[in-house]
Amino acid sequence: MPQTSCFNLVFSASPGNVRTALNDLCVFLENNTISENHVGTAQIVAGEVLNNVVEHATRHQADGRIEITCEITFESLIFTVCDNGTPMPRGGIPNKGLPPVDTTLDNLPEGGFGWALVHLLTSGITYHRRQDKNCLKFTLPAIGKSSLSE
Amino acid sequence: MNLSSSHENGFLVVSVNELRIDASVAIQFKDRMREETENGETRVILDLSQVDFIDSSGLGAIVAAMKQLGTDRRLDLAGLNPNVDKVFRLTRMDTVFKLHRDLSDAFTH
Repeated sequence: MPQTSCFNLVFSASPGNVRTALNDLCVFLENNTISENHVGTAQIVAGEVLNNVVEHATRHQADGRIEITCEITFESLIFTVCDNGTPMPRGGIPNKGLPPVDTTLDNLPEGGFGWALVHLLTSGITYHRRQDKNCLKFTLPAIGKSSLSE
Repeated sequence: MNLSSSHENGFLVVSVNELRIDASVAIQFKDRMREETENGETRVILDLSQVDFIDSSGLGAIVAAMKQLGTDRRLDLAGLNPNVDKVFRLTRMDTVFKLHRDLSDAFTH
């Protein structure tokens, strides 16, 4: 049986704490000899998900809390991110594609990349709302889905 | 948000002296870029060689910085580390900005 190793952190929702959490996550992954490329991808995805919680779900509450778990299995990183914020709009994960970039300077997008990055880099993403908590699960395959992630 | 600028080879070079351009500093970055690029050369190079992480907010702030320059000036990027380069390629922003390996590459292309 391959051994698994697990990272778990609970913190109050704020941009500064997201930074610290991402740093701790990267240290954990590096200590478990995850490749630099995959640590980088994990930080991009976890950053988007955690920022989304801070900027939307817990935006108007002082007691916003986030729990992030990352389990290293033989061939993937399995993430769970839960928070006590408001539900996702329309009860599900926004399934946004990339905003178009083939446009004039004035119309270039300054946002809307976050969920697109998450969808591009993860697999098996699920969302549940239980006991007033949001719970998002997703997997980073050891070999990225997109050749661009290599 | 620590940015500094210099005038080199007919370019305005703005260096980001930070490890991260993320959601917590994106607005500051945009404001500091406005200050650093208010005057100066038509061609601006943003030196990202010290930055090892950007998120989608940071990316949006770099796009905003380019828009601030208007259509008569140009913003190129230099010295992207692998994780930064990845975000530009995944979002297709590598087709919007000219990405240079380093500053000397930016001066000659």
